[in-house]
Amino acid sequence: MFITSEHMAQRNHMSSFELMVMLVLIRLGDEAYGVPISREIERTSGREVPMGSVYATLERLETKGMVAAELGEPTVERGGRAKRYFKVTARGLREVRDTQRTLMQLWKNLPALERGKA
Amino acid sequence: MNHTSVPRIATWLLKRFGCSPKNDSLVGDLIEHRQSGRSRFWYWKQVLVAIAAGLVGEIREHKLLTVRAIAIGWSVPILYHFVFHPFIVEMLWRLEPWIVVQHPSFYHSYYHDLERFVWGESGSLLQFLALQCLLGFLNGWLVARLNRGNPRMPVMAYAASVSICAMMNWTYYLLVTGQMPPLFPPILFVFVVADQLSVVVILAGGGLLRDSKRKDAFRATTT
Repeated sequence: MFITSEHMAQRNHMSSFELMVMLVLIRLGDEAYGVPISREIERTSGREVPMGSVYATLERLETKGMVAAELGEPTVERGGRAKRYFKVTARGLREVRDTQRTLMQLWKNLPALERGKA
Repeated sequence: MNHTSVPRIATWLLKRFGCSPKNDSLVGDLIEHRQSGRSRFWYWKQVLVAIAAGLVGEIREHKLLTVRAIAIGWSVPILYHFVFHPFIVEMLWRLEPWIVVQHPSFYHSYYHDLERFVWGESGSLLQFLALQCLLGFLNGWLVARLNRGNPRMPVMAYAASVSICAMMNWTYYLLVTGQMPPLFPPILFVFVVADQLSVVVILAGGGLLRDSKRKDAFRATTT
C-alpha cells in the first residue's frame, strides 16, 4: 500500500487535456505554437478551446519538464510579438508512452465498451 | 493580410492582469486569430478566460501566499469591525456618518437612513466614495507592500475576494432578506458602483495599473 502510493506520487499523471496537448505537439512537430495547437485541438475534438487554458496547460507541462519552449522572431501580423514554439522533451515522450500503455491495458476486456453496446 | 482591428482595451487588460509570463506570446496568438477572422466577442472572451485561468493557476501554485494576501487585505476592516464595534461606531455615527458607512453593520442598523444619507446631506455621497477609494487604495498598497517579490497575484486575489464578497452581499440583500424595504434603484446602483470602484482602486493601490518596470522585466525574461 505504502509502496503503491509512493510510486503514484513519483509519477506525473497527465490529465486528458494535457495528454491531448502533448499528442498535438507531437503531431505538429516544429510548427507547434499557440495558434496551430489550438486549431488542431479544435479540429480533432470539435470543441472551442480557450487559448488561456492551452497556455496554462503548456506552462504546467513545462514545469513538469515534459515540454520545452523556445521564442521565435517577432512578426508584424502578430503586432510585433514573437511566436513561442513548444516541443515535447524526451521525458514527455516517455510519459506519453507510459500513459498510452496504461490506457491500452485498461481498455482491454471491457464488455460494456464493445462496439454497439456503449 | 487582413487588417482587422484588435480590441485595445482587452489587450491592455491581458497585458496588465494576465498572470502568465508568456502573455506576450499569447497576445500575439490572439491577434493572429483575430486577423484570420475571429470576432471581437471571441477575442474578449479569450482575454477574460486567460486572465481568470492565469489567476487560478497562480492561486493553485501559491495557496499560502493567497491566503496571506487575503488575510492581510481583510484584516484592517475586520479588526475595525470587531475591536471598535459597537461603542466607537455609535459615537462616530453621531459625529461622522460617512465613516460608519464603511462598516458592515451599517447596512443593518442604519438601513432606513440610507436614502437620507446618500441624497439628504450635502457631500455625504462624495465623502463615502472618497473613503471607499482611500481604504481600497491603502489596502491594495498594503498587500502589495507585504508581497514585494511578486505583488500581482496577491493583489488580484485580494481584489477578487472583495468583488466576490460585494456580489454576495448584494445578492443576499436582494434575494434573501425579504423583510427589508426595497432599495431605491439609484442608491443600489451607487453602492454597487462603489463596491466595484473599490476593486479598481485596490488594483491601483497595488500598483497594477501603473505602466511600470514590469513591462521591462517581462521583456527581459523573454529575450
